[in-house]
Amino acid sequence: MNKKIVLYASALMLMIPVPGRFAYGIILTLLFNLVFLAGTSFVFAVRKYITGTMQSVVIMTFLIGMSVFLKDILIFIFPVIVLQLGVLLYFPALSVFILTAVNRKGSSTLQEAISMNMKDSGCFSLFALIYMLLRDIAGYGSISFPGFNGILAVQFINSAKIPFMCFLASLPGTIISSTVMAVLYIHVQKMFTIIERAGITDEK
Amino acid sequence: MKSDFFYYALISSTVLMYGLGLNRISYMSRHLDKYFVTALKMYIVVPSSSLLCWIITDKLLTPAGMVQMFPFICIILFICISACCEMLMRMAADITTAEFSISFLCTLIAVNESSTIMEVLVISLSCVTSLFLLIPLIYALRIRLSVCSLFVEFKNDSLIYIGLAIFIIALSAWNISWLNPGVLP
Amino acid sequence: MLNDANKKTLKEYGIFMAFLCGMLILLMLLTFFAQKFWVSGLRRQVSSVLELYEPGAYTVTDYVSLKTPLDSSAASFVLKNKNGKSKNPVYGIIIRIMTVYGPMPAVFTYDTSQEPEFIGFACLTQDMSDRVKGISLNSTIQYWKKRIPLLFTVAEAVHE
Repeated sequence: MNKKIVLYASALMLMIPVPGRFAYGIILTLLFNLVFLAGTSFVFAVRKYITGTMQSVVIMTFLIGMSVFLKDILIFIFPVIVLQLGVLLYFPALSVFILTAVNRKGSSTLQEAISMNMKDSGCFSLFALIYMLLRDIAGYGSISFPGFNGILAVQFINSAKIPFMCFLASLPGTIISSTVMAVLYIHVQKMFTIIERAGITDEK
Repeated sequence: MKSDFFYYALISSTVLMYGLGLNRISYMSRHLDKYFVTALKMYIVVPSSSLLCWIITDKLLTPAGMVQMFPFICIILFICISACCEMLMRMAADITTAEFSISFLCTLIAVNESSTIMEVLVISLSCVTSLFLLIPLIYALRIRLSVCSLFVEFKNDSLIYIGLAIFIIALSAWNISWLNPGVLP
Repeated sequence: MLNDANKKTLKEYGIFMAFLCGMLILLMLLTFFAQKFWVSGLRRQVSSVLELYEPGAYTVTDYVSLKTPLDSSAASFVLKNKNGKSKNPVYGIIIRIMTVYGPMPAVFTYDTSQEPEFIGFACLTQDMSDRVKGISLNSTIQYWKKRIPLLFTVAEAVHE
């Protein structure tokens, strides 16, 4: 469980350069899941026919092609969000999370491979969405959703008037707040481990 | 050209602003043994693949109004050039460097944000330069932190990332620095 | 001549080429149809930003291609001055610029006889847009103000 959380936390790096709005989190998480699903199915189909180094070339080309395909579909609905995110839309296809998971062997049927990978991507997506929601509320004082004409935001606080919130909305603020949260998590985990060990010693 | 180089190397740095290799940089800064070899490979692969991709995108895709699909063409060309370079380096000096995602994303940025051939070359070189300028700084930070007695919670890369955030704030100071001619009207 | 290993390699390359051609055709079709939505969506954005910051000054009309790969991160339109003051063509351009808050779609107007003028950011409230402008004005915004005229010069040169 601990290793999984560390893996998700490092995969969250792809969310850090994204502007801190929940709308972009929804788009990127959706993109992540679709690329993951398509990648898993494609690798399962192609594994029998293409082997060796050619396989990695084909998989990489497919993942980027899939990202371009999904980006074009997003242009139909949210063109300004596609303009804004730009190169960030290709981050999921190049993330270590997807590249190691789609190449994972050990599943004999397509259903088994998809369910195994989608469980991981589902957990990561939940993590990422909660992370982006917190960033939106803390940084912009709103909860935003993607809309046809840009972003639809439910504004709670006018964060532009509060410098600390503006700092949290910026990139250095995001990095610092994420690091502080990670350090707090490690500290709390350490405390729980100490309490657990103390409990076991007492019982003995 | 000078302003393009400094903009993409410092102000709009690929690692700090675009977030390319944010997770890789902590790994790459642990040891500097493969620093020059990786730099050499990236300095050859990124500008050459950016140039080729840009020419094809500009001459074929842009007139047809299909510029949005340039990454698909880029990945094919990039893999060819990267594989050739890797093979040459292995034959010539028996060295291997595995670096893909950062190089490819630098290529995408260089192709995406250029309007002339000179700009492609300058932007691709400055994207790579921004990464290799930062690695020694992070390495120095790491050495300095290893000497301190830190709490267990900080004995991972947390302080390195806080250091990166401080670098971003330091670079943003150019907006309000008196050395910037636009600040004092 | 064609032993099993060579046959296998030929088969692999054949499958790869078929996959490449299929993917290429699919992406070309999709990109072709998506272009119209790209132009109309960004035209709406430029129009709404201009209405917010300079109400009643401009009407957004035709799309102008920059004729470079920068077309995938920018869009420019001809602006009709409602006051009828400027005799030179005026362009409105929405372009992705990198700021400390992440990538932001910035709208500029460019009267060919003057320096481009920064209007505001799309997808942000006016207050937040002013905040982001404050930290980017003397670096990123200034850089793009210098670069935008060169983009139009290149587009005209390609047109000729």
